[in-house]
Amino acid sequence: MKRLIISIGLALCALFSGFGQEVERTDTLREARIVADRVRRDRAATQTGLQRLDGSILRRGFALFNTPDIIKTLQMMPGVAGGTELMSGLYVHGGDGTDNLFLLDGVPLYQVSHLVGLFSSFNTDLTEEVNFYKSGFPARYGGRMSSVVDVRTREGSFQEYHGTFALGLIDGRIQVEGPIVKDRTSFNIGLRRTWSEVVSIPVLYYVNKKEFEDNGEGKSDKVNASYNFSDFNLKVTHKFSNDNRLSLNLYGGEDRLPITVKTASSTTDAGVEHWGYDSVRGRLQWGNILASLNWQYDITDKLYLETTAYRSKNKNIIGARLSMWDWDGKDVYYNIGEDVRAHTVTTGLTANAYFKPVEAHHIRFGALVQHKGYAPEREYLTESVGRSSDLKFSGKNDVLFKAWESSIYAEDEISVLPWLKANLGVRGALFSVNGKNWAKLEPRASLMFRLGDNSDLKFSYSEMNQFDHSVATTYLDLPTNTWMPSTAVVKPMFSRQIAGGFYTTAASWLKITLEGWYKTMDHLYEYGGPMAIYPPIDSWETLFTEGRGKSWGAEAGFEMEWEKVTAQAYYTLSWSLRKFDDFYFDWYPDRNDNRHKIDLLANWYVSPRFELYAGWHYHTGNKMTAASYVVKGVDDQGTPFARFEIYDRPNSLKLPDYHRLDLGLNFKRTTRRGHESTWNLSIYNVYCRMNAVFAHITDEYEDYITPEGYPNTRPTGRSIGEAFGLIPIIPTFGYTLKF
Amino acid sequence: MKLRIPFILLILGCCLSSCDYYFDLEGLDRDSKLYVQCIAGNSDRTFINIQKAMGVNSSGDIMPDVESISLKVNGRECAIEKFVLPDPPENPYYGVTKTSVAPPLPWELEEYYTLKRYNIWYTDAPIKDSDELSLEVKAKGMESVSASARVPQKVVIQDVKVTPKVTTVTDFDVSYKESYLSFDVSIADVSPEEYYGVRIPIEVNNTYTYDDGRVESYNYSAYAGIINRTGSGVLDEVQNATGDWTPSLYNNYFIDSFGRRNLYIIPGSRIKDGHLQFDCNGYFSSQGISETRDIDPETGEWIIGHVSINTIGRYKVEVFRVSPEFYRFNKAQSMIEDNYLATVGLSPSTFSYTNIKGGFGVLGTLTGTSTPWYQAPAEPEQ
Repeated sequence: MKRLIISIGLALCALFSGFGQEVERTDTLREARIVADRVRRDRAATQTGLQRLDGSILRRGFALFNTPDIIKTLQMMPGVAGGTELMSGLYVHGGDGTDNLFLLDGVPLYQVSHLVGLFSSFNTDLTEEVNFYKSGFPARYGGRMSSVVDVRTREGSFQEYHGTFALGLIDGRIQVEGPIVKDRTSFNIGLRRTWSEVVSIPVLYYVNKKEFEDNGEGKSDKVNASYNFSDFNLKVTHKFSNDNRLSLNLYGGEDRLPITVKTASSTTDAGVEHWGYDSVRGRLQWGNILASLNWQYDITDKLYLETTAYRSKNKNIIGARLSMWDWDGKDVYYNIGEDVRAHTVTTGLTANAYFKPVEAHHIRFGALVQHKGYAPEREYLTESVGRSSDLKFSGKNDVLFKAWESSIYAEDEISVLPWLKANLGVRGALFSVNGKNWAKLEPRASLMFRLGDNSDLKFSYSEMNQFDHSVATTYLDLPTNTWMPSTAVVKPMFSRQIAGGFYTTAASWLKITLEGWYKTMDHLYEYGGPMAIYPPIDSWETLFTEGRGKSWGAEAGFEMEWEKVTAQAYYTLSWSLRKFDDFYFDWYPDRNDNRHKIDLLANWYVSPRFELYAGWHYHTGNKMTAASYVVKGVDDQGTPFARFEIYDRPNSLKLPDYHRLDLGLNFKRTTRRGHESTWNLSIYNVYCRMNAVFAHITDEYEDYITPEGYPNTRPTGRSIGEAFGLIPIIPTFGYTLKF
Repeated sequence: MKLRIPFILLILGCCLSSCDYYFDLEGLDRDSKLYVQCIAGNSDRTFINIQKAMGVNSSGDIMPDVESISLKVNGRECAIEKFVLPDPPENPYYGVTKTSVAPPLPWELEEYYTLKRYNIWYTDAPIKDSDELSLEVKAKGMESVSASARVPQKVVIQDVKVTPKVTTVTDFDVSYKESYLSFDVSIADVSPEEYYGVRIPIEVNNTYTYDDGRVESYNYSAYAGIINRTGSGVLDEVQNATGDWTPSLYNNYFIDSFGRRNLYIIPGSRIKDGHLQFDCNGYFSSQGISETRDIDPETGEWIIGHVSINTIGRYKVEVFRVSPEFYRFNKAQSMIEDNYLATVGLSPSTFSYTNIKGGFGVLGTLTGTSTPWYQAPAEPEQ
């Protein structure tokens, strides 16, 4: 630890001393090598639906608030719907957004977003690569049913100190890496934090001051609120030898939103005026803490072993307290409060082996044991003091599930013939909770036919089970949501997917991918109770209704790369349906049933000092449930009005199509100390398309002139949709310094 | 510079643009359909309410031009008549009358005028347990609709246990003691596949005796509300079949024989060991003294007096077996009304249910069994 602290200190010194002047060249070469490797690896992969992104590509793309984002990048991929604008939704091949396996260095993460989904939890400064699977899942992955996002962080440099320092409009981050013991032990640390308080605190100070000046001491309202999130990553790697290394990975991320509103009011008794404060205090807090120890050992040239022990904790807290003052008693006589907390803790041990007995067989096998704890609780309090009879009423609803999830897998990547490769695997999973055991066997298969030097044909089949259920009563990504296990009542979610694709490098500058898929999902669960912000903790098993889903579609990707320009064009044609018998007797569209999706991206490296980025995104509007029919009555004047509405089918209304244009500029320069610095200007939603976040149906009105000659409005008797867009044009700028 | 100015204006225009806007309801241009509600099996007279469900984008005549109505009971055609609404009573104020026990009265007078414009039909043909019903309605220019349903068998009430209880109620900044009746109703042959309903009709007489010797007496009848107090268990999942959503037809005393008011429905799977347990939200029998304040018209001073209140209440228990269609229709409507977030697309989809082929509404059935009237026990001391 002492060495680590010294190393971090040295790295910070390096920031101001020009210690890493040679790094820029090294990075450039490294990035070029990574890109070349990526092309080779993509061709070599047997799986369909695999997207590989290396960290340099992630950091090069468009960055809202100067913060590159893994989830936002994945949302652009074909076959993926992003859901609500700016949120970190990832709806893959018709999935429900909670069925993606997010792995950070092999360890599952439950909460992957900050700021209600505006930023994802992954710091791209430390990201080595991301393997994103939409289909053709290898047997080594399991536990979620729609996709796998396998994020690997970089080891720190074993040779020299360097890093990145970035300032955005609302957040900043620093990443530092270097040796603790040269050639033996390295560290890579990243810190990120918002400073929205820098804006909110002065603004609220001014508001409160103005209120104080207007109304005086004890009579002015007060508002205090500040939002911030922070996260840190640390990776310490020690090489016992070139074949034997141990890594410690730590990740912690947390969002905090405390808010207090104090409202002054007065009452007069016997001619005496009394003033006091009612107050509302709220607190939202959510995040992850993760620690893992990873040991990688090349036992022989043909056998490689990787073992990881980890603990991952997800914590959500939301609370509110209302206090009211009383002039004839104590200052505060009435309190009412509610806290909802949800903790999900996973402790696991996994061992993976890679064995290559002969060139034609690449065998992987391994096992995973996880202990999981699910502990949501709701606590409420009502108390009255200072009255004739003091009252205290409090209660607590909580449940605790403890579960074991174990799995074993084996897969073999077989070179059957020079033109035929196969990846065959099977995964067995056992989930035990409260005496109920769920045993599942998941076959996986991928085939790749090589069609000449430049083209491949691939097919895959996979089955996935998911034993964790996200319990949410709304589509808002709030910390009220919690995770619950499969139980005797709630079955594991299950998906079955077949996919096929054609992949070709049509020219040295053009790579084309054409894929299609068909996927079914069983035992999906949706909330079927009355409106609630907090999920029902003790009755969730009965208030969630079971259903099915299916999705199919085709996607095309065109990736072009010239000397100074790279461009990608992605198109998806898809259908996504749901069938919940309690909702509707037949299949109906999923809310993310976006028929068409187009993403056009381009980077132009105008000169070594100037880059341009443009991205245009389009998809058919999301669906929502709206009344399709109305039964009208008439009032005593004979005027018709809507007596009640009829919802003939869920998700019957299509919202307006979504589209937006993003632009970005990077100005690079070299500082006097030889560091690369970049000024970034990004404009999100350039033409300010107010894409609908939510909508409702309302009466349509028309203008008319009254007999008296005055302009007025009156209902036409028809209805019209009213959409609410929240995200206008957002220009941001930022500064990044590599050292 | 020429290029910059329009560009800057464009950006400013976008920034200042409104964040809500209107759009056409794509996919919701629908032809009108018939909306039919008929709840059979619980009374001598069966009503059929026939409305026009219009696409939300549609305008025009709101009433269907009904050509024919066919209701068959076990294959036999029933005689159908158009229902003519009688004149409203003089004092339709929440069922309070100075007469003897009166039927429940309408919520508001204006509902009467709306009802007058409804297409209500009826038959007096007897409908009993296990009868098979089929309904077909034709209207000019609209798709014909049909539905079928089976009347469930009556419930056998084995025992009723009523326990007076007292609880502390906190109503924001005031807490007080409240007494209530806790029910434990045993019923036979509960099936988890079936649906049940419960309702508590009450008759109450309030006698007010003032200091000055005046005596006022009020009788009223109503249906008790049922609430789910902590620990009452089984009725946590109860579905209250009344609510603002429903066409006021069922809340109207003229045709209340549907038995819909304050009817609580519950799946049989939630009834444990044949015991239907629930609490009423009030007490039907009590005695007390209250202070009265009147202003003396001559002096303008407050006159403080007292009034002794003697409330004598009776109740009975009605238990129903309801058809799955009736349950699902009510639950769907209730969920829609209770989930505003879903109506703006921020919560999971709301329910939709109908068993009217080609249209909307419900052909529901239910049969009820009633206990005799019981005197409410004396209210416990608080």
